[in-house]
Amino acid sequence: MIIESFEKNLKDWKEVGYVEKMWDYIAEVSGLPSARLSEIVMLETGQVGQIIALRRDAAEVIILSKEITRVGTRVTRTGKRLTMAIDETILGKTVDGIGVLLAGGLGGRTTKVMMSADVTPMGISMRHKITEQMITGVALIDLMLPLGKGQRELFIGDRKTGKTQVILQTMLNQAKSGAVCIYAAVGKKQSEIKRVEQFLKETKIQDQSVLVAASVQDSPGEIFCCPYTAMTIAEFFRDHGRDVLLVLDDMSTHAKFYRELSLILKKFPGRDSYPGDIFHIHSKLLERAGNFRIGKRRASITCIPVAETTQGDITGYVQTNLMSMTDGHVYFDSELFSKGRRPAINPFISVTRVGHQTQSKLVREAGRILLDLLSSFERTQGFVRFGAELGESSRQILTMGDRVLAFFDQPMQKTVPMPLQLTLLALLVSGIWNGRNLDKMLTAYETTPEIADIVDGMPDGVESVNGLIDKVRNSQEKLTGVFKV
Amino acid sequence: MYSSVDEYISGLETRDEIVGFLSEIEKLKETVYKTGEEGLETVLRTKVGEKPARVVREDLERSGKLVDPHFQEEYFTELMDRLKRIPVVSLELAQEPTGELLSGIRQKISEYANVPVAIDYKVTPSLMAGVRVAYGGKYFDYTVESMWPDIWAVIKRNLETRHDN
Repeated sequence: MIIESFEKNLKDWKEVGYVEKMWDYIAEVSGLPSARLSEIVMLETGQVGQIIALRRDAAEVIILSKEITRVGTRVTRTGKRLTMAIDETILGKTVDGIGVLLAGGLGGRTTKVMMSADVTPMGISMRHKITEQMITGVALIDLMLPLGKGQRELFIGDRKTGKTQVILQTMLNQAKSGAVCIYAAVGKKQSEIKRVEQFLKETKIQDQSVLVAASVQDSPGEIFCCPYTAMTIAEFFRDHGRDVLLVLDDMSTHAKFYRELSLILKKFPGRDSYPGDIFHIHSKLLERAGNFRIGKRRASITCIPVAETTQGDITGYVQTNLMSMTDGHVYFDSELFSKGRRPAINPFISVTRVGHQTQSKLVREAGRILLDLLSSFERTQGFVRFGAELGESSRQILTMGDRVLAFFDQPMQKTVPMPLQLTLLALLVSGIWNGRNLDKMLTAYETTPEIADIVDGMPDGVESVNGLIDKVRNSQEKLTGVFKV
Repeated sequence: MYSSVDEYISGLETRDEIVGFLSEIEKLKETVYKTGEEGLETVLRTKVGEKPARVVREDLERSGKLVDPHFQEEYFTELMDRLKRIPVVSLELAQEPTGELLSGIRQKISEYANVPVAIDYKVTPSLMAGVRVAYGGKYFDYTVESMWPDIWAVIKRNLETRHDN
C-alpha cells in the first residue's frame, strides 16, 4: 500500500481527528467529519488504520501495525480504501498481511497497478464454466476427488493431519505447469511460515509464488486483512490472463481473529460468540475466486481455503459455513493419519461438486474403480477385525487395497503427473505392479526421457481403463524393464 | 450547577486550564465517602487551587448538600462531563501569542460556534507566519509555510524581472 505523508494528506483532505481511546488494536477517533467506512486513515506516527465502524461522534479504527498508539495522536483521512501496489515483480516475494514487502525480501518492487483489497466479486456474465482439471499431482485427489480450475475446495481436518503437505505438493505441481501460486498464512506461527518459505525455495518454485504472511504475533488487523490481500494479488494475475492457485491457510483462525475484533468492538455475539456477519465476511471473499472470462481469454483463481477441526468434528459453525460456500471439501482424517495412511484423506467423507465434470471418461472410470476398491477394502477390513476366516476373494481385496494405499503414499516433495498416475493405476489393477517403490518409478519417469515419452502417450486415444490396461500390457516389456517392477 | 462555577468554566480559555481543572475535580471526586486527611474539606484546602476550591465549595454550600456523598459524587461527575464536552480549537502559530490575541481568537470562534470553546495552541517557528486551525475535525492551513512555493515563485519572478531591467 502506498500512502503519502501525514502532512500531505492533512493538507489535501483538511480534516483531522484525535485518538481518544485505545483497546488493543482498535482506536476511537474523534473528528474526521466526512470519513467513510473502510477508508484508510493515517496517524501522525506514520501508522495506518482502517475505519471499521462509524458512530455519530467518533470513528472506530483498526490499527494495521504492531507499534503502540498513544491517546491524543492526530489522525487524518487518506481518501483511499485498502489498496495494494502490485506488479509481476511481486512473484518470489513475501509480503505482510496488508501487502507490504517484508524485510528480508529481495526488494526492488516497482509500482504499476493499484488494486483495491476489498472489491465486489465479478458478476455471472464474467464467469465461465469450469472445464479444465487442476492437477494437484496427488494421485488420490486427481483420480478420486478431482478439482477444476476455478473451483473452491475446502481442505478440512484436525491439526497435524498433513493438510499443508498436500497443499504444498499441489502448489509444486501447479507452479510446474505455469500457474501462479499464492499462499496466505493467516495467523500462523513464524516457524510454519518459514517452513513454507523453505519449501518454495527448495523446490525452486519461489519465482512462481507469493507468500502473504501474517503471523500470530502480528496485529489482528493485519491477520484479518491477510486473505483479502492474497485474493487481491490473485486477481492481479488473473487480470493478466494467468491461472492462479490461492491457498488460504487457515480460515478458522481468520474467523477467530475476526471474532476477537468484533468482541472488542462490542458487536453483538452470535453462535459460538462469532459476529453475525462472519458468513458474509467469508463468502464475499470466496466469491472472488472462480473461472473468468478476461477479454477473449479465460483465467481462473482456484481457491483452497483450509479449516481446522477439533477431534474430527466437522460440524463446527465456521467449518459448516465454509463447506456451504465452497464447491466441496477434502477431509483429512486424524484416525487414518495415526494408522499411517498418507495422505490421510478420507475419500468417503470428502466431496467435490464440480471437479468430475472436468475429467475425461477414462479418468472418471479410473476414479470409480479406485473408490470401489477402497470401499471393498474398508468393508473387508471390518470383517478381519471380527476375526472371520477370509476367503480367497477377500484376501485379494485386502491385497489390492494395500497396494492402492501404497500407491497413494507419495514422497513429500514429489508430485505424480496425470499420465503416470493412470499408467501406474493400470499396472496396479492388472497385477503387474504391487504399488511399492513409487519413488523409484517417479525417478525413472523424471530421468529417462524414453520412459516419459511412453508414459505420457499412454492415455492418448484410450477411453476405458480396460483399454488402458491392454495398452500397458502391450508395452509391459518396455515399462517393466525401466520401472523394474 | 450555580453561577460561580459557570462563570469559572466560561473563563477557562485554554485546553491546559481545562485539563488542570479536570484533574482537580478528579481529586475531589476521589474524596467522596472519605473522611479526615482524605476527606473533601482537607483536599479542598490542600490539593486544589484557591479559586477552584472556592467556587466548588460555594456551589456545594448553596445546594445545601455539602455533606451528602451521593450528591457530591453526582455533582463531580456532571462537572467532569461538562468539562470534557467543551470543544477545543487547536491552533498552530509561528510565535508565542499574547494573552490578548488568544482571548480575541477564542471570542471570535465562540461567537461563530455559538458555544464557549477552549484554545489549545502550539508554537512552530517553521510556519514563519499565519496559523493552522483544527476545529470539529476540520483543518485549515493559513500559514506562510504552506504558501511558500507560490510566494517564492512570485519573488523569483519579480527578482528576474528587475534583473532584466
